[in-house]
Amino acid sequence: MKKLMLAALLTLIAILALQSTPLHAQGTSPEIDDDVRTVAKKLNCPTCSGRNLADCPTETCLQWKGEIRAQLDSGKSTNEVVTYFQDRFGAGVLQEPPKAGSTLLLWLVPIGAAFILISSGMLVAQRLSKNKAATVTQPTAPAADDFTAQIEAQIKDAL
Amino acid sequence: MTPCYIARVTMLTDLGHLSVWLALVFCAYAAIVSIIGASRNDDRLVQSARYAALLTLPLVLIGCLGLWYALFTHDFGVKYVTEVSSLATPMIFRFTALWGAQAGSILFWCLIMSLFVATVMLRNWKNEKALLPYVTLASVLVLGFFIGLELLLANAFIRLDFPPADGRGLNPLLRHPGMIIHPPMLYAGYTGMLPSFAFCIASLATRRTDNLWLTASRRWTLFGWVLLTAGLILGGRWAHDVLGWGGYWGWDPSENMPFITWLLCTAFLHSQMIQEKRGMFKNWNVFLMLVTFASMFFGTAFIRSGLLTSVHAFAASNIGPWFMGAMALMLIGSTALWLTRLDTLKSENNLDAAFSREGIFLLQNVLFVSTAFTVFIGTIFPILSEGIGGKKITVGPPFFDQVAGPQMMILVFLMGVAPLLAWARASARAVGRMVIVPLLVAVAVVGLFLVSGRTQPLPLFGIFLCAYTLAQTLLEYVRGVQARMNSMNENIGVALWRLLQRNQRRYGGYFVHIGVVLIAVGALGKGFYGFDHIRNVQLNETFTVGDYTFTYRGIAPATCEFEDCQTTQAALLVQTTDGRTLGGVYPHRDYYPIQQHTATIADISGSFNEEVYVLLGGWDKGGATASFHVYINPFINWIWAGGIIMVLGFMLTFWRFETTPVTSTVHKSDVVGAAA
Repeated sequence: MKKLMLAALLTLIAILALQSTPLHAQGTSPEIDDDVRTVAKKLNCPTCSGRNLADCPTETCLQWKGEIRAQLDSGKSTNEVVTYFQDRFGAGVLQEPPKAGSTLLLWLVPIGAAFILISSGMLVAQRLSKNKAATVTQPTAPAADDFTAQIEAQIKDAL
Repeated sequence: MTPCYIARVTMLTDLGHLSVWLALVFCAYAAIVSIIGASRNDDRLVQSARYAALLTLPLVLIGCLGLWYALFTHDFGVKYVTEVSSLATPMIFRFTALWGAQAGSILFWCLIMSLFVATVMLRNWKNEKALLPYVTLASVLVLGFFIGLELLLANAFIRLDFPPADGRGLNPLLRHPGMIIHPPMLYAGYTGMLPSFAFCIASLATRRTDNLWLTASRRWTLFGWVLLTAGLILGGRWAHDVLGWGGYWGWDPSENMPFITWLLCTAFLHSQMIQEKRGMFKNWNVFLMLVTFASMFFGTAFIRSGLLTSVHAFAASNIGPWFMGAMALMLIGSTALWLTRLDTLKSENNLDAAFSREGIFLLQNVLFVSTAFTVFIGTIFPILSEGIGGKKITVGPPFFDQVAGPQMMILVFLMGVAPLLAWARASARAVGRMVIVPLLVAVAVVGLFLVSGRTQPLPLFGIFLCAYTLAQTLLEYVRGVQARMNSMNENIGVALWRLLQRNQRRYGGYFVHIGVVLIAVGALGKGFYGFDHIRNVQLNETFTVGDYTFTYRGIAPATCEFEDCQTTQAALLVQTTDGRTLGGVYPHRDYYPIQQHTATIADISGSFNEEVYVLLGGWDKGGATASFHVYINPFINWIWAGGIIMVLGFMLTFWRFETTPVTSTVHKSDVVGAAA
């Protein structure tokens, strides 16, 4: 029973501690500086969906930034800190999914699609030009109004 | 509140609710009667359906007025009113609260959509009579779906059994002028695709082989396009001003989805010219219209249904599955219709040469589609990874910048090439001569950048392409004006005016291109040359960021523009490093106790070419020390200028200067609708 009460008390304290106090009442957080931001820009914040850790002002993110500061203070380089977070939370924590493993597909699919689209566009263009001889309808000359023709003529003269 | 007053409030709002139900009935009626009218060839029935569709506008409007009434009179008996307003909410935000949350925004969406439907119904149907029943059918089916969604799943009119004394108030993030006009713009841009889609379906249904659907819907597509453009830019401006992160575009799903629609719609606006001019790409145009419209549906579903947060939120959301179901039905139905009409959509002409206007348009279209696909994959990948692998992988801006960025840069370059190529077949020699001057200009601009110390090769290459395209586009005007001055003996002003007047689609389009180039410069400038620093300083201490020095002069409470917030404002003196004073900046933080929300609002200094964006990070000991976050944003203002120029370009294209009526038959339109 004692243990249970202690656990309840600790939970209560934890909840109270995590209750976000209004940011405007807080002072500055001197530990959040450019170095921390360099790392934080490469990470996602767990509470701001889609935004990077550096730009997210929530309480949880402040804690994460504190963690980054602590890691940097312990002598780790910025890359090492990023790797630390990646090892701990998986690739999902990175702003830029790695160009390897399961996320390689993310990079390859659009590039492959662009390649396929462009080459099929070229094939269509080629086929359309080849069919030219076999068509019944004659390609009409590009119609343009008199004025455009006039300008084209002027341009030709000028060159 | 007297009982009589409460009864009156209740009645008006409920009248609105009833009116929206009536609009749904009218949609159903119009759908059934239009199809019977078409099959029996009975004009009276077709007209009856048309009027029913027309009447949805006043009915949905009464619904919106009912809700507005509840918002203005603080009727907290309506659940929606308590969610988006409070007694302290100013009048203007009680007005915009109509689209401040899901239920109301779907209703507002219905209003804009019914406005489009009604305007289409009111048009002169003399030339397109055969299309009318099917245009009516497609329009009311889509509109009816959204009205049904509002009434059955989202309902903004739901009443509470125990009304609270006050509401929660509008989300503080939404209290910005950009938020007043940005959502309506985006909604209107999205729903503006409906008329073009309806014309496309009608053309397929009636087995038309000509360009009637394109000429009839062109102005609608353009109108929807400009609203999407303006909506996206205003959204960027809002994010820049309110979110306190110095940026303007975060590749967030709610930006990406309308952007995908914008890309596809832009591709369509270009490719339809080829059908109008050369009778080619008919299937491609139908395809583009269908995917543009589907992207609108998918985007709305994605943002509105919780799919954004996770697959689980989507499954739990009540509107998500309906949205996807409706989109699947719409896609299957329209694709089936399209496939049975393939024989009618044969190309009238062939490609004479790949090196021609058509050839480059094809390449450009393919690039638009692949860019849209890239953005699409990046946006849905988190959901895919969560659904398939069980673990959500977030895709941040680096992916979009690296994969979509280069494709967009090629598109910018193509804008500087396409206008040079003649239809059918272009001569390499003629083109070669026309690129010399713009190339020299581009080299000179790159030289200037190098001299200023900006030597990174990648952005320099981007700047080179932008400068080339800008110079080439401006030269198009110069060539046109010169030709007119020489041949018609006109002075420069008259020549320019007549040039625009006689070829408004072409030169209006080039104007839009100029805007796009400016935006590209802004994106390159902010992306590659922008930087930011955080500085913790003592009172009256001076610090330097980039070419600027900042002296922290103090901090004090200030009056907030809204009643329900507390503002703390800092003051800094901004000077250039060579001692020239630029002025004071007053970044502030607004705290909203009810919503427990803090907004960090920047103040801006600097010049047009280089914005200095200062945020108040925090402070200690009553302001003895404070932390500031300074962003230097080169060329970011070019983005807003580019947006304005794009809208002006649209006006040049859209406004009817011509005195000759635009005909809708194929061959005549080939001659009259001269456009590039």
